Formats: sequence, structure tokens, C-alpha cells
Amino acid sequence: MIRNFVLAGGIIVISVRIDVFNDECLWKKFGEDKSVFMKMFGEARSILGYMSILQADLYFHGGVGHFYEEHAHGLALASRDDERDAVEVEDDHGHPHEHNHNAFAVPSKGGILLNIVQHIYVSDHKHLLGKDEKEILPWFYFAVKMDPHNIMAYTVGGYWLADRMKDVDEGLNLLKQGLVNNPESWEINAELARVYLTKKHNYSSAKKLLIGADKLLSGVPHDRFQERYVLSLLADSAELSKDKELALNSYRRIKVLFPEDPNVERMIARLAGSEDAR
Amino acid sequence: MNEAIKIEHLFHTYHTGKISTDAINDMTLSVPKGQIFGFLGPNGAGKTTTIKYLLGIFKPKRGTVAVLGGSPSEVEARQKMGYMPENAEYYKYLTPRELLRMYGGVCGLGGTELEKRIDMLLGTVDLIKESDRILKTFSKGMKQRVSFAQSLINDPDLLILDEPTGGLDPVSRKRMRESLLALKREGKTIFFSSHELSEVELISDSIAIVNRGRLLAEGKVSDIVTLKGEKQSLENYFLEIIEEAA
Amino acid sequence: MKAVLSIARGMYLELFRRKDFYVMLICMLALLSILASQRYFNVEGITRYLRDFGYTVVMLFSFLIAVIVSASQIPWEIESGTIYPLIAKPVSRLTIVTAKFFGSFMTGGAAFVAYYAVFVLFCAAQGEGFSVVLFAQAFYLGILFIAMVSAISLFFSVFMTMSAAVTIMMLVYFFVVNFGDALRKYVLGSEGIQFIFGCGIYYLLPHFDFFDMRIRLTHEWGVLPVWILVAITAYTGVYIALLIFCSSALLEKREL
Repeated sequence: MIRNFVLAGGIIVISVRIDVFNDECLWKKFGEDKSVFMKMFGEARSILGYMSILQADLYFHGGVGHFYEEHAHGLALASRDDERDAVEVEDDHGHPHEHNHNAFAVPSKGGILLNIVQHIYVSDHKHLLGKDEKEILPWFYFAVKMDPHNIMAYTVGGYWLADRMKDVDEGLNLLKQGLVNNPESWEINAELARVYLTKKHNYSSAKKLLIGADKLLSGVPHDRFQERYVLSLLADSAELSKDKELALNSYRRIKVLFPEDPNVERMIARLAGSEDAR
Repeated sequence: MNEAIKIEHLFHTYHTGKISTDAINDMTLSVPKGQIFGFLGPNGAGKTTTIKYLLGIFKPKRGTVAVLGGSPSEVEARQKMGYMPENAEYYKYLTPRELLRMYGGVCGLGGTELEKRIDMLLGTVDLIKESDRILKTFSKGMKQRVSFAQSLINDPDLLILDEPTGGLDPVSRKRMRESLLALKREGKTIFFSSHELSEVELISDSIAIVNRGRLLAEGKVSDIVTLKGEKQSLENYFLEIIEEAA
Repeated sequence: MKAVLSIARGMYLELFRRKDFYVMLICMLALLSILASQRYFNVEGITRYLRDFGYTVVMLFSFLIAVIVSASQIPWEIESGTIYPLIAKPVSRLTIVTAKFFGSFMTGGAAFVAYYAVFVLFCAAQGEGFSVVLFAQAFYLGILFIAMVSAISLFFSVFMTMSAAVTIMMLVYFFVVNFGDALRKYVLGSEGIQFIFGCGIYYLLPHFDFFDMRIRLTHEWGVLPVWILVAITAYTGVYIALLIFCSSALLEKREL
């Protein structure tokens, strides 16, 4: 018995020291793609990375997935003949759905067993707010460690750290790490630039990154909304770093993509007017 | 009722798929109270099946089985019955004391009365020193002695033993014989099956020999072995009768 | 009652002399220690994932111990020959099965209590999001879950080998947890003979989802109303009683 507890203590001490995710870890020295962890999981790591992102979303919604929430409410209605108690409400995303307030109504179909579960399962809709928002961070951490090529993990994680957690430096670190692992990703370039632009007010760095993002974007299939996003940021960063020509060119390109948008016309006019005034 | 065991016209057939085997074929047997009764037969003779009827594991579809005046499938009839299986592997992580305490509790015993009885039984089987060692560390002979002790936990009037001396060294076998004779002097009835014919001859009052579910011989040992006019060993008689039946 | 407790006690003693319990405890300690010591992006006070992992591990390990202990009882007794001296004692098959159930439940329950205590210590040390009432409810439902699992595994073991009983138990658990919802939706949306048939299957299946407090515990949703706990307790009691009766009837008929 004593021997077992000594062994247990030893395992706990060693396991806390040998941190798989620690930069000083032996395995990391062999390089990201050649680490023992990567070799063990192979291609499955991309699935694990994706599942981690899904978990992050689930955590954001208090553990209740969208599917289940609608399903549970649907069941609540299906088990009742009388829909008088059903009330239409909007959730935090603005999606309408019916919510039955009469939780203690006697079920009309299937007996108590078939209906008791709706009182057991959680089916309400909520988002993490305030200090609870940090709870989804481990899943971004796991996502990027499982799959260093999971772009969404870096971009959403970076946004979460910089904007929601107000930890800009950590957000930047994550995005930079993402860029090292995915230099060809326009999304990470753009997101990194956005953080520099909006949080650090480092317009020149933002501009450089966005020029790169623009080049990368042009080499991959994309839609006009994505292009507009990059060009908008580029225009802002160019204007703020006193590069009016680049800003104007960016707005003109946006106008080609969205000729119906009056705001773009106003931006062009404002910039062109101020240039003429000079 | 003077009989501890009474079996009348018992039949039992095992069905394995399309194959049917008669394990017991019209057996009629009675064991008087207060005797040591040896139940002999080659492998597959039906001894274990008969014992299962005596324990109430099987319920007779043809024939009757009575133990101490009652049906063995009823809980009351088993109140004063003890059973020692052949080669039972008891709970490895219990000690003999804990095992006997468990079986004693099952029989409705408890408290200091049970503890005294456990000490007495462990002394009888010479396992006092090992009483707090787990059974996993026991040898075959030691497990056999534990098995004998548990069969006596409820002070039974009828003891059914399956190969009681199997795996025991000569000293332990002698102790077992002495224990059985002492139990007989207390008025207990002992029904045991064994392949050790020399042991059977030494202690049994009566025996029965079965083969292929049929009773070939039954009676006092001394009467049976001098049946053909000359005295012979039980072993010779046994082999002869089995060959004749074949 | 004495007979039941005597047999149950013997089984319970075995748990602490086997290695399985300690191996799982050590694994759990190691896992929770690693998770609790992690800092993600230099942010402190992240607690939910620890509760999530910890509760899952507690339930999984307790489930494994309960299933393995229960499913091995009758097959092992038959294989080792110890069923015969037990049956030879003045006890009925019902008493034997009841005792085996209590023993398995006490064994699985003891393991659950130990693992849950470790889990609660880790969560309480974190401080945030620790609701005593929620944890107490989760504990109570966990105990009921272990009882349910023990009874079902024991039932299967009466007419199957140990490995078959364990496998079938795992399959039943997997099916109920993953498809129980779909079955419920199907039944509620059906009519006539389909509804009756669906209801029959639904009521026969064990509802492990009733005992799952993972989402409430992890994400700090409210406590369950008392009437729900009473209903789940009644459901569990009735289900277990029926299983024990069926098990003893099957053991009576079984050729040993």
C-alpha cells in the first residue's frame, strides 16, 4: 500500500514536470511536425483540432449545442397537444424559437418517462459573459497544439484574447505563432494586422501585413466579402499611416466589388477631396 | 425418519444440442443417519449430478430426492447441511477468517458465537497461524482445508464432501479421516465421493458404486467386498464390478 | 438481510485488495494534477474544463469498476465452483442475487466516492464555480448511476460470460447515450402500433442520461428540482428491483 502511494506521488510529480505543451519539453526540440505527439496522432490531429474548436463554441453556449437546444424545444412541443403555453422568443443570436414556460404541465403523450428528460436536460440559450469568457481558452490552446494548421483556432483565439480578454500581447503571440506555422494564410495575416491596427495602433506593421494578406488572397479562391474585409483594413491602416494613395486605391477596388455601396463612394470622395485640397 | 438421504427412481438426462446423455438412470439410494457413506464411481458415472440433486441445484422431474426429511431445493432443508466442493477456488483476496465469517453470516450466524466457531474450525484444520493471510497465497492443500472448514460453519447434521482428501498430503489426509470419524461420533452423517478407495475402505460404513448413471452396488463395505465368498480389496472389487457392467 | 450483507461485505473487501482501484485513482490524480497546473495564455482561474474532464473521468472509472465487478460475479462463481457451497447454504437464489448486487454496488459506489472526493478537492481548490448543492446533486445521481449499472451488468452476467456481459453493457451504454434522444423523438412523433412498440423499447432501455450532470456541473446551470430527484430515484429503484427479480428467476432456471 505504501509503495503504491509513493509510486502515485512520483507519477504526479513527473507528470506535472513533463508538460507536453511546455516549450522546454524534450519532444518540442525535435520540431513541431516531428514531435512524438504529432507522430502518434497523424492526420487525426486535424480532427482533434476541429473538435476542440467545436468544444470552444459549445463552452461559449454553456455546454448546450444549437442542435440540442432546438431539438429539446421541439420535443417539449411535440409532447403536448395544447400549444397555448408556447411563447415565441428570440435568442441572443436573434433567432426566433418557441419556448414553453409551463414546465410543470402534465405530459399528454408517452407517459412521464418520455417527458421527464426535458426537465433534466439543459436547453436554454446563453453566452459566456464577462469573466466567464476565459473558460473557452483551453480549447483554443488544445486546437492549435493538436493541429498547428488550424487557421480558425488562431484567428478566433487571437480575437478572443485581444478583444474579449483584453490581453493584446497574448493575442499577438498566438497570431504570430499561427503565422510561423501558416505563412501562406491570408486570414492570420489579416487578423494580426487588425489587432495591430485597432489595439496597438501600429499602423505601419498593420499595413505591411495587409499588403501581404492581399497578395495571398489573390492567389486563392475567395469571395468579394473576404476581399472587401482585407481592403477595408488596408485602407484604414494606409490612411492612418499617411499613405493616402494606397488608401484611395483600396477604396477604389472595393467600389469595383460593391458598386452599390454609397459609403465607399463617400470615403473615396473624402480622401480625393483632401488630396485635391493639398 | 432414519434416513439422512433418500433418492427414489431418479432420472436425469443432459441435452447438448441433438445429443442426449443419461447421467442418472433409475437410481434408488438411501443413506442412514449417523453413518459415513462413500459414493464411488469412475469419471462420468453421475456422482456430481447426484450431488447437485442433493444440494437442490437440480429439481427432480422424474423420481424424488429427500435430504434430512425435506426437499433440498427448499431453504429450510439446507439449514443443517454442509457441502465441500472439489477444487473450489475461493475468493482470492479474502482471508480464511473473512471467508468463514461470510459463510457464517449467510447461515444466519454472527457475533461472538460465530467468532468462537471460526476459531474452533481453523484450529481443527490447522490454519490458525494462516487465518489472516489472503487465500491467493495458499497452496492447494491449504485451500482444501479451508473448504472443509467452511462446510462445517453451520454445524451441519449432513455433510456432503466431494473428494475431501484430494490434494492433501498423508498427514493432512490422516487428520481429515480423524475429523470425519469424530464428526460421525457426534451423530453427523457424512456423504462423500472419492477416488481414493483405500481412504474409503478405512472410514466408510457403507458405500455405493455407480457407473453410467446406474447403481451397481450398495451396502456395508465388509459385506460388499466378501460378496463372492472371499475377501478382496475394495479397489479390486470396484474394478471388477465396473468391468462387468461395461 | 444478514446473508445479503455478509456476501456483500466479502465483495467490498476485495476491491481494496485489488490493483484496479489504485491504478485508476493514480491515473485520475495524475490527469487532474496536470490539468490543474496548466495555464493557458497566462490567464488564471480557468475552471470549467477541469470540472468537465474531472467529472467525465470520475464517471468513466467508476463505471468501469462497477461493470467489471458486477459482470464477473456469477460467471466467476460458476467457473471457480464457489457457487455450489453458496447454494448449499440456507439461502435462496434471490438472496444470492440481491447480495451480489449490493456487493457490486458497494464496491462501485466506494470507488465512485473515492474518485469523486478527489475531484471535489480539486474543484474546491480552484474556488470559482463551486456550488455545494450542484456537487451534492451530482454525487447523489452518480451513486444512483452506479447502482443502475451494477444491476444491469449483473443481470447480463447471469446468462452470459463475463466478457460478453461487459461488452453488451458497453454497447447498451453507448447506444442509450448517443441514440436515446433520437429514439425519444421518433416515439413522440409516431402514432398507433409504432408508438406502442417504440414506447415499449424506450421504457425497457436504461436511461443513463438521467444521471448525467456534466453540463449543469461544468457550466453552472441551476440545480435540479427536488421532484426530479425523487422521480429519478423511484425510476432507478423500480428498474433495479425488476432486474434483480429477473436475474434470480434466470439463475433458478440455469443449469449450473
